[in-house]
Amino acid sequence: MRSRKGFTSIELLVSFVIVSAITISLFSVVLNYRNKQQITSYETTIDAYINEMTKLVQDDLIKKHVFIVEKRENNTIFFGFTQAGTGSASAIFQVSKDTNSLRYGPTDATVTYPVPNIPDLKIESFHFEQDDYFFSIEVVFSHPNFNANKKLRIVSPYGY
Amino acid sequence: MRCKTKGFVLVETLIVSVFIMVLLSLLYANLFPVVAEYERRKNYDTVEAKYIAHWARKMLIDSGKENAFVLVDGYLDVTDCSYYTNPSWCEEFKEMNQISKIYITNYNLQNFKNYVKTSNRFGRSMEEYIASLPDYKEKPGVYRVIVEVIGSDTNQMIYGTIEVKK
Repeated sequence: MRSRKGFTSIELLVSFVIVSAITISLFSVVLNYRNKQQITSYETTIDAYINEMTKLVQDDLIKKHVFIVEKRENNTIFFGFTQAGTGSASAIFQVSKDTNSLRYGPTDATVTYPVPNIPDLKIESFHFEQDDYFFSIEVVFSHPNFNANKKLRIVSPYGY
Repeated sequence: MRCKTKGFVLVETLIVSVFIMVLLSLLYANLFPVVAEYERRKNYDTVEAKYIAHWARKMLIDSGKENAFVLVDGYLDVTDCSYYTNPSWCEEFKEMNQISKIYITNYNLQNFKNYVKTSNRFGRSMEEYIASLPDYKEKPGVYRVIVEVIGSDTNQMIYGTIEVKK
C-alpha cells in the first residue's frame, strides 16, 4: 500500500529555518564579492587611463625630443621640442583638480582627458621634479576603497 | 504493488558528501596559485617599466662602454654606472626611476634562464619574472635589456624588458 504521509509541520519549519540561515550567510558573502569586483573594476579603469596618458606623453617626449621643460602656473608643465626636419614645437601638460581632468597636447590645441567617471575618485596631488638631466611628473589619484593610491608617473631625460 | 519508498542510507549520503567536499577543496586549493600568478604578472612589462627599459636601452647604446656587452653565462649586470661614459646621467636615471637592477642578456634567453635556475644571485621575484619570459629565437647582434624597478604605487618590484641592437 502506498504511503501518503507528507512532511510534518515541524519538519517543514526546521527545513525552512536551515535554508534561510544558509541563504542569509551566503548573501553577505556574495555581497562582499560583488563589492570587491566593483573595486577591481574601478582599479582596472584607472590603470587603463594612467597607461593611456603615460603612452601619450612619453611617445611625444621620445619622438619629438624634449629639449626644454618648465613648470608654469596652474599646475602646468611646458615642453619645448626639437623635431628633426620639422622645426620646433611645444606642448603643455596640465593637471586640473577642480575639473578632475588632465590636459595635454600642442600649446595651441590641448585636449582635455577627464579622469574616469568613478564615484569618489579624485586627483589627490601633483608633483614635478627637475634635475640636471631628468624630470619627473607624478599625479596621484585616490579613492577611499583603493588599498594604495594610483600614480601616473612620467620620467624622462630632457635636452639630450 | 508496493511502492519502494527507501531513499539513500546515511552512509551513502556521507560518502557522496565527503567525495564532493574533497573535490571542491582540491579545486579551491588549486585556485590560489593561479590568483598569485595573476597578481605577480600585473607587475610584468607594465607601460611604466617598458619606458624605463627604453631609456636604459638608450643609455646603453649612447654611452655604454665596450665591456657593457661582454656577457658571461648569457648575461651581464650593468647596474653599476661605471659601465657608461656618462655616469652622472646614469645615477640620475637610476634614482629618478628607482631602478634596482639593469641586466643585459642575449636575445635568446635560454642560457640566462638556465643560469638563474641554478644560481642564488637573483631574488625570488626576479627568478619568477625570468621564468615567465619566452626563450626568444637567437638574433645576431641583438641583446635584451631587463630592468627591475621599485613600483611607484605598490612598492612591489616591477619588471620590464626590451630588445637592444648594439
